[in-house]
Amino acid sequence: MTEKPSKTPGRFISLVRWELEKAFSFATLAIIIAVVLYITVPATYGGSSSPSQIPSLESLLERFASGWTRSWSYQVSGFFMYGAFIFSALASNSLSRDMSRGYMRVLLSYPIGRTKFLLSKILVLLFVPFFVFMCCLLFVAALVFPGLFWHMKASSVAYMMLVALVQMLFMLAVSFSTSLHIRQPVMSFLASVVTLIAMQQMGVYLVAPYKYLLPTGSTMILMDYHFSQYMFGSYYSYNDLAMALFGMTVIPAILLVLNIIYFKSRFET
Amino acid sequence: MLILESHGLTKHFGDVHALQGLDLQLSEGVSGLVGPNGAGKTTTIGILLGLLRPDGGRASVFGFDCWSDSFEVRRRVGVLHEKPVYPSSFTGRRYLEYVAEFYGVGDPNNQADRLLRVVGFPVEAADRKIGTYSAGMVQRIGLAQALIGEPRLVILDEPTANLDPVGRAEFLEKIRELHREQDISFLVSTHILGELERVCDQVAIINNGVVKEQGRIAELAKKYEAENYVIIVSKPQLLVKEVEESGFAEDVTVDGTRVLVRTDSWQQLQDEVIHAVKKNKLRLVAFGPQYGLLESIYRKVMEKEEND
Repeated sequence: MTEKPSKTPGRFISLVRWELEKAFSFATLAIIIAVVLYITVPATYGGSSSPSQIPSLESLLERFASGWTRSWSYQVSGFFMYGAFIFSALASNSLSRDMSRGYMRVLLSYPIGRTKFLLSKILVLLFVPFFVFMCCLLFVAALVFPGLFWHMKASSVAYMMLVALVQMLFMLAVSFSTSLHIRQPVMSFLASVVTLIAMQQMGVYLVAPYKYLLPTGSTMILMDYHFSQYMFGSYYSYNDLAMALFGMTVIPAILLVLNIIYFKSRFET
Repeated sequence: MLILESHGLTKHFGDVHALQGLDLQLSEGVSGLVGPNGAGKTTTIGILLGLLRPDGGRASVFGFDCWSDSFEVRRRVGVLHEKPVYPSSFTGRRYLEYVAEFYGVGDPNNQADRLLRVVGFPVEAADRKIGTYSAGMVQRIGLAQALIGEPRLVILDEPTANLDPVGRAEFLEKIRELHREQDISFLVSTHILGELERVCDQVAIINNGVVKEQGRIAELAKKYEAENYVIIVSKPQLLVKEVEESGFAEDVTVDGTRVLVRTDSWQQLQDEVIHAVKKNKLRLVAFGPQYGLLESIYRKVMEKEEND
């Protein structure tokens, strides 16, 4: 009675299209635009909260002299708080809602490999930070090329956006992991937000170098490493930088891989 | 030929033991999986599709292990889940096209159109969003998606639960037709036995996570003869008196205009009723088993379990 097992070409692209069509709406687009504006506008207006309150060049120089790197760190840390809610909502919508509504049970009944299924979800969720990042670059380009008001070096703005992108990947990994294990969408959203904010706050109280593994510490290092060179040279070592990069990239990557292994070998729906 | 079998299948969810050593063997044809709510039907289907991992035992479909080779199982099996939910923002046609892509069907558009016709879905509604469909339309989309990829077995979990009586009859007729014309086997899980009887060749009765009885309906009918009969007749008291005096019936009761008789001698009851009708010049309105064939088998199996 046993037949010879056969391989089928992957339907990964179909899965990605399915996820994009299911997940993206005008509401999602509005959120993305809001994030883009949040990242880019303060950066290009010298850290002020509104284009109508552009600081003068003199005040910017004054801020520069009095340690404005902290101001930029604050901007990016603020984005983490903001992003914790956005990414928790996106991951909860993608995983917990699918589980609770029964979409996942239906979809996993088709001949779809579990790894491909999960990777398609990760890819679509990664698409959000990537899309935000691209929008930011376009925004900056639009400001630079027409010769508009411009206080910051383009490289510094790009660096800030890169840090924001790394932060987004971190948030995505944590919220994705939480949503995979909590099937009730609201609960998974709340758990994800609390976890992310707790991780950020823990970074304040841990001692170096462990604090650099968590968002607050690693963001501070990444920002100071770049901006302090304008003041008195970087006072962080390469080890500190390596620790921060490890905390913001390798830890989330490990988290995602562990979740894929769990989903493939243990997950039931 | 056996298409599906399980041996000693166990599954628990916390303290709830959903399956407690399920031994199931089903061959090609239209099969019924019946049992009360909580008997373990949906858990069994989840394991067969590789959605749930059994705690113990083994299950296979077409010879493929349902957990380790579940991809191969799902390539050959279509499924309509109980209370299926499809993304409400998709149109019916778009949804079917996606499913066709997942199965690697060459021309998803044509496949979607063909299946919409096969299941009798109104073509003009195919480009409307699923969220606007009636329960019957969703169920037809559910049957269409279960037929994508030319499955050899289609599992239907409570397929008529959301349908009106006419919709139910049409749905069951469609199942019979698909089996007859395309040689697709079906496994229908339900507790609406009267409907199942019209389409099934074989049945497995499960309760408390164990198969209590399984086999072809004709064979089970011989094993568990019906013994409850209903007679609707003018002047039922006269008939009751005649049947009681003849002494072969275990129990005779009157329920309004109906006379209920419990006996293991169908032939003797027939003779006695005809005799009584003629003798007393009664008007016979109806006479037959109180329950359908499958329902009688089911009741007997359950009674036997209670007595054991």
